[in-house]
Amino acid sequence: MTQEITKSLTPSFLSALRGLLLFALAVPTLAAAEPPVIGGLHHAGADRFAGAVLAGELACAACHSTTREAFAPKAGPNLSAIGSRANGDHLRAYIASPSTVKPGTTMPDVLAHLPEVEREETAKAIAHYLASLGTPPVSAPPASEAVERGEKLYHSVGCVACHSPEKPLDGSVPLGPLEAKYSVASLSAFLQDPLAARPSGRMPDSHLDSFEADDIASYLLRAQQVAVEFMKPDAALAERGKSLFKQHRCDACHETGEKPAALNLPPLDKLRGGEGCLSAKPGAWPHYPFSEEQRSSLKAALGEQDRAWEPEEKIGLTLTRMNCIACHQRGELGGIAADRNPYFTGRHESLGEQGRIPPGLTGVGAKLKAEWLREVLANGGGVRTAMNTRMPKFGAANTQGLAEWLKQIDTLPPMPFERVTKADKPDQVGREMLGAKGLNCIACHTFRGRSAAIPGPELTTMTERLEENWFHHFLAQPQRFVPLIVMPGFWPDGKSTQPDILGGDPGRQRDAIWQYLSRGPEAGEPAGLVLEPLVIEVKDEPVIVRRAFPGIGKRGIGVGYPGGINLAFDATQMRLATLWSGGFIEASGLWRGQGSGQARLLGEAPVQLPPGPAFAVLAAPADPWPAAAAGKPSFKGYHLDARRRPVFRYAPGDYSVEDAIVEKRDEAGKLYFERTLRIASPPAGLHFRAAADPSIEPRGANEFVVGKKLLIRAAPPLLLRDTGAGKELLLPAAPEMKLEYHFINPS
Amino acid sequence: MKRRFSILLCLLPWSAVAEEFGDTWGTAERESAYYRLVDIPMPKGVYVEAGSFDSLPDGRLAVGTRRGEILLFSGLGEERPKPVITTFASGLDEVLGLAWRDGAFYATHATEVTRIADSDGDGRADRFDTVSDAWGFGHYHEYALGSKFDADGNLYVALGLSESYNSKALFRGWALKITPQGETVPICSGLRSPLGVGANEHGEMFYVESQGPWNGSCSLKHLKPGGFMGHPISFNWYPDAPNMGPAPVMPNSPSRMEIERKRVKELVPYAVVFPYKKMGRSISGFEVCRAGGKFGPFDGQIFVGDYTLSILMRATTEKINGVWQGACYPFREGLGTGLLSLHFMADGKLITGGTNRGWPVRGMKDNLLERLEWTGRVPFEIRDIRAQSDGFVVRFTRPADASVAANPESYKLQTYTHIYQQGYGSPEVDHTTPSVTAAELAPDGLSVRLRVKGLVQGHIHDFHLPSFKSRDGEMILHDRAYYTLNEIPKP
Repeated sequence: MTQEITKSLTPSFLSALRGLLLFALAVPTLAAAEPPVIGGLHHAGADRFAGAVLAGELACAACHSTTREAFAPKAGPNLSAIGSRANGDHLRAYIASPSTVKPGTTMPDVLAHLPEVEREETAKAIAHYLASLGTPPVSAPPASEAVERGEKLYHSVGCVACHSPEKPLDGSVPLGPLEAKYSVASLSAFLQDPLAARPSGRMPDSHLDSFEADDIASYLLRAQQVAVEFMKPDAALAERGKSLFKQHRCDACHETGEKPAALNLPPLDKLRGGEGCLSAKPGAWPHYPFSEEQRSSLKAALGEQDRAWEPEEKIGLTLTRMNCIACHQRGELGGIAADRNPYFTGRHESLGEQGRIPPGLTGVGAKLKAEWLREVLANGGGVRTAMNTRMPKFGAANTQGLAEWLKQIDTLPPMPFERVTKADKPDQVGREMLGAKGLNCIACHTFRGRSAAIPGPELTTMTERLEENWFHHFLAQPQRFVPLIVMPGFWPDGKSTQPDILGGDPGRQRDAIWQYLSRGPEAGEPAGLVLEPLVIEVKDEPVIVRRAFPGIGKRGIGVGYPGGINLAFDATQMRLATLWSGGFIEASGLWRGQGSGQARLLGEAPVQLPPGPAFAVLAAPADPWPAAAAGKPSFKGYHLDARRRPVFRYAPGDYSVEDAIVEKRDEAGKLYFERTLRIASPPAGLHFRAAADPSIEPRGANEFVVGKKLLIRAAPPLLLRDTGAGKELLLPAAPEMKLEYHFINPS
Repeated sequence: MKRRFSILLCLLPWSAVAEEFGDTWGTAERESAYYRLVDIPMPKGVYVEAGSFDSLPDGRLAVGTRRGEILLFSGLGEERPKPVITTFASGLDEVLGLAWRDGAFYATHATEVTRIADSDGDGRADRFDTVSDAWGFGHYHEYALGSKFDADGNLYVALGLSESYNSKALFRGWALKITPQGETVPICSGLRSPLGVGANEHGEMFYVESQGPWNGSCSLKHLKPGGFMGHPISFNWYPDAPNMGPAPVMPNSPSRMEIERKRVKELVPYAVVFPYKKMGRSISGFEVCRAGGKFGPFDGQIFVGDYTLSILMRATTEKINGVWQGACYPFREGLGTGLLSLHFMADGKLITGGTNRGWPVRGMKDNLLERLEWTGRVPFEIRDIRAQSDGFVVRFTRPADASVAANPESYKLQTYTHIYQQGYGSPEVDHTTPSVTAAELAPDGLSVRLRVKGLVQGHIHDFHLPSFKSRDGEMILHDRAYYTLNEIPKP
């Protein structure tokens, strides 16, 4: 609202007016600003920690020393490279009045006590100083496709667990006027490594790669029409700003690479409630626009006797401060708020709530092994790949205690079971139980990253992640841990659904699974892990795939032509081997596992041309066609024509052949192959065998129907002869020969 | 460690702990302070199973893939890489060797070495000329690994056996040299399952061999022209290689390399043995670091990956009495995929890639290129180890604390070798414990001269330097190194 009025006023008048207003209305103005928003305090059960959370999040102990662990101050953003991140113009306005520019911010106003002019000057100098710390990256305005992609990401990867979605929601951690602060490039850089700029981990790292970060930055800055120019720092002002930065004790919370000035303020325990920062009065201290409720919780917390906190309280305090409880629930604490719930989505509905809602933290210390728990918290490790919301990385320093406390107090009684001995082949039994004919675990869990149907948590890393005792408890009664779990119990009423395995003993069966999974990446693949086909699509230009083809062996060259006709060339025997129409190939046999298979031809049933040499010197035209090449044929390679169709080059003997096969359309619009063979100095008696088949029927002088599916057309002379076993179609070699191969579709 | 584990096994009522994979070094977190791993984000529609790398003169990275493509990457050097990728060529078959020369790629793939060029300048290849296919193939498991060009313009191709045990097609289990004139010359027999071929830090051609028959452990081997690399199944092709003379005499099994190399004169001992599990399980592509200091203190050393354990190691070699030998050192673990290949880019960053299918692998991700970069901090490490007539010189990357490093008792040294046999792999055998009689630390603390009583020719000398500290108090990052002592230098 103030901004609207200011547009019509001259700057000098405005500044005088503002000074007057502030002088007269200082107290009410401050009180009317939006109180600092701490995300975690908006969740169920967090009230009891409110005072300590506020003291920590507002960093009281950054200035007032304390020995109380619960009040450990949150570090402010690291400003040593702020000039590369934020526009100085924004910083000036923000420093001059933080909660006006970014309502709900946790940054106090430290200049409120200064006269207007001095305040503006101070903010300006500090902004110039900060702008001098780093060089802004070159940036472009947001692109509309990126904005679109970014909107989807922002609303799905977890940003809106804390921040407001497009539709504003209460209790959202404010973003402030991002378009005034960042460029796409600088915001993207921040999003890719938020812990570098904000070491406190309150803005955790969501593992955005550079493409995703660009997209989200573009979405958040969608209001920018042109590339932003960051303010150019003035050296003299920056120098002055540097000392003002210290003078106003900004360095108590913000790292700049400089040594912070010593503070000589009373310790936290000695503070009188209702004075200084805790009062609503203006003065030479940081001003927080507290709500009355916040002020009283803080006073209560500060006034409380120092005491040792129970681990469960320390856990609760940390979960609230880090806002883990925006996504997770532990006991009565936290959980996803109803108005944010729709933003938690997954890619597989069949996983139910487990496929979209982050797991509960009740008893998590008994579930996860210490090392994995640390990995999850510190580095955002996770296995729920079907969930769109990502477990972010909070950094080791911010989560060390949490992992320890969870391991310390979460326990489960040991579940007795009898260990399966080697003689009973636990690996084999476990493998069978996991497979499609057993419990079919692979239907809903990935196995070595591969999913048969639904990509639930990875199986082969389970024993690295999970406590063995928890595994037994959980498998015995999954619904005891997650009431609405999709996973069925396989031992209902404590009885096995597979009574023939290991005598139907549930404990032994679960142990066999555990032992088998302990083989980790070496666990043999369970039966039934069927994968999606790998179909190679041909679009507007030919696709070449070289590897094993049916009837050819290892040195096949498959070519899919646009429009849907295909061939396979045999580069060992130098012959056109296979022709087919319709889809090209499915490549699982080539590109999955060790690649021990061959291409699976799609489309219509293929036409196989005869194996053996395609060229031979016949001393007399009646001589039989040789079974093997006379000389040592060699493959010379191929080049691509202007439409990227291959022209094969080879030497069947001591002469060379160029073999160009292109797709053409007949008068009816149907595709066929036209083949041009160019032979440099063909020897006398050289023949080309176009086809060999039990049935080759002439149709006029230059057309022959080969089998039932192929028609070959070529210029005469053509030689159709009987071999006893069938027929052969030969052409005496010429320097240039043209043939057509037409598919006869079943009528 | 292995022995301790088997004792544990006897005590435990069960034995199916995930041991087979080998323990990790447990150093990943500390390593990351010195060498940072960055995943290269992959745009939609790009699928990379890197089998080989090379740099183009314009700085772009070329990646040869298992799916038969050559992809060109730019923008990899950025702090947060955002690659722009073009497909230069496709339709090849497992590109496991890639070298750029005079405007064309020379790709070694399953059945041939192909020269691949863009003749119309549209940025995409349109000429595929067969340079060499002078070998046989029939089975999918017959891999062909290709080198970069040597100083004389030759390329080297290492050919894996048929079905990994036999030699059913011409020159399976051989190494071939392809001259600039396009002539293909067989140069070595006896290979088993090569997973990388290239020059060592002195420009000599080496290849990496995998543990299996006639190979007790993985190793780096010297492709000595005329040499026999140890696996005799490929002797049947000597008649096709008249330049190689008659087939060597058959090695005895079981035996020891040190014994058989005296009987079989063509047998070239493994230059650097990578003890199984401790130092990889399927070592793969390697390259010498020539980063000019941009990759930290290891210039001029060989960097080698491992497929199964997704780790990186270092190696150094030296020629003693005419025989190549040297040491290997742990370097970095915790990579995301099974490594097949690695390459130092012009900016001194190491790019790694590979695959996760077909064989067990610890790094389970697919479609992954990872960049490893030096953070600028020098770790306290064993830089290298060199053999002496009466011991070793161990060099450090930073000055070592004299209270430990100058004390001979700080060095835990043992030796062992493997059975040289037809059977698969070998346990470590013939253990000895030499004694370090003197440790003379140089005044700068950067090297120590060890006098050792009980050097064993033909054995791996397994160094353990527990609780070594730098002069400024930093713990050694990796306290192990393994020197293969084929020859003891003459005094």
